[in-house]
Amino acid sequence: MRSILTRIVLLVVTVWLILTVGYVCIYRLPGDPARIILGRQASEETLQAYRARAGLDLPLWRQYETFVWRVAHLDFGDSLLYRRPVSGLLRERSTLTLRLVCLALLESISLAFVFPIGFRLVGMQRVRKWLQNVSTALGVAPPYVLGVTSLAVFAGWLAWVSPIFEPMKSSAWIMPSLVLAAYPTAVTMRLFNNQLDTVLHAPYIVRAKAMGFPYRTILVHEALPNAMTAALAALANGLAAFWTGTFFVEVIFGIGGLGQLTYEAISNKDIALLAALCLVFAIGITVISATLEVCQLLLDPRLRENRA
Amino acid sequence: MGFLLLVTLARWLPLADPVGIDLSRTLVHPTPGHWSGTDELGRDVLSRLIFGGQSTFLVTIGATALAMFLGIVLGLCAGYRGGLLDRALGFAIDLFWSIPFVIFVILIVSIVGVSPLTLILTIGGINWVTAARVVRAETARLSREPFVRTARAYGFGEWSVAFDQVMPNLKSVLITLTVYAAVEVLTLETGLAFIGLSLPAPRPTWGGLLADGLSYFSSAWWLVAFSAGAITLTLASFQVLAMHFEKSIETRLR
Repeated sequence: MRSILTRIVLLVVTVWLILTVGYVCIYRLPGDPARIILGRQASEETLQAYRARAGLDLPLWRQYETFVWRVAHLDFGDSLLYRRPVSGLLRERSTLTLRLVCLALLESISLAFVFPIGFRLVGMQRVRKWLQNVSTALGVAPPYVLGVTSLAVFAGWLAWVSPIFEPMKSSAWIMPSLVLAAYPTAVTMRLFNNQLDTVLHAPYIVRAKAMGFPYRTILVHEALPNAMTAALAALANGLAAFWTGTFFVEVIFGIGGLGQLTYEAISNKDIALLAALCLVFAIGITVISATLEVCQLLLDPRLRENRA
Repeated sequence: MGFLLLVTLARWLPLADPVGIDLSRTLVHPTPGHWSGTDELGRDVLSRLIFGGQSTFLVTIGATALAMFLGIVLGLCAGYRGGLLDRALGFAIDLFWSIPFVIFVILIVSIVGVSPLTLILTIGGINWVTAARVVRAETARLSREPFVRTARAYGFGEWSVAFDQVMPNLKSVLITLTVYAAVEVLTLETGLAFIGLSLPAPRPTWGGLLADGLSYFSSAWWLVAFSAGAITLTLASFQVLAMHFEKSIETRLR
């Protein structure tokens, strides 16, 4: 219980720190924050109005308070590029990103856990090792390299897929989600296979085999629960890789999600939009990682004992 | 390592001008005159790859050095002194570990502007956490060893013991950490360059070359192939090097 409470307290402190870092980045870096957010073309009246609204003429602690209050109410101001509230843009574009990340996560779990177990059960060790080697090789390349290369090969050279992304077609999602899942899958699969190999040589497993239990029962009921913990933790830690990978994958494949929106914000120096995206991504990743960690602590009592 | 050598000696190699535009030779496929082809402005791709590597490696080496310096100093202080300092720094390290700072690098660099110094400071400033965690754990372990207690008993000063006794025993761990840090920094730097946060044109960068290749992936495969190959091979060689150092540490510990 104590370790779970500690984790929750750490989460609250982390979110507060993220908001503080966000505030420093937007309002405390060298330069006029109003000019940075509204752009060089903004008139003096517009700048003054923004400074009054954002509380930039108030004492430091009041500015910070106003900032935290606005973020808590999802008021990120207006986008310079789209001339509309940023929160509306985030809501509209998040669907595609969530779909991409969920698909990639599902593929990662399947490739990292289900396939290796399946191949072990049917005795296809060579195929399992081949899959691991391929996954490790693909995991070396960052998502932007893998994405551009796969687009060039499958859409450009082989013409197996359309270079234009059609969100209504299910097959259009396969390549982007696999590219996004490649690196986290490689790490998780390697860790899971190593853990499983170690656990399968443990004395209690050897005893179970000697007692005549079927391999399927030993693998699924005895070895698997002990081997999965570390690999699941690695997958949870790799959540940041899923989210940051969307920056590149959406740009490469032309998916109009939050990653593409980030790229547009960078290209057009829309700092209000970029800041909102960074805060949403950072807080989102932190909350999801902390939730998964608490779930782990709830599921595995040994972790609670270790931390106590 | 071959890339590093080529990049260092780039000025003295018989290469085309990396920023020289030749509109009569745009998107030429690899030929004896242009071994890696030309891009949409007729610039030699091989030359841009090698000179682009200078910017990439400059930022990688600078940011890695900064990250390792911060990690070693903070980790050593925390692990060696112990007590309240260790708990405070340990908490700070765990906190920094939880925050996905890479996202704020994008924001900071967008606001402050892109320059080698900005990239080195921001990327190096967020990548110290892994080194600090490992150095802290190893230092704490070594501080309990008999040879450290003996040195203290002989009256050697605390900093003398930390730097003359503890640090040399961290050498192999630090080498491995440095190589892994270089992998992370290189991946981040080329990623930032890919999404447009690269050194301003016409200075080439590997990520920028890959981004340019995206627009011509179906008609000019060489723009993608050579830049993707350079990035992947460099990352792969760093990872193989890191795995080699890791194995040698494991062998010695056994």
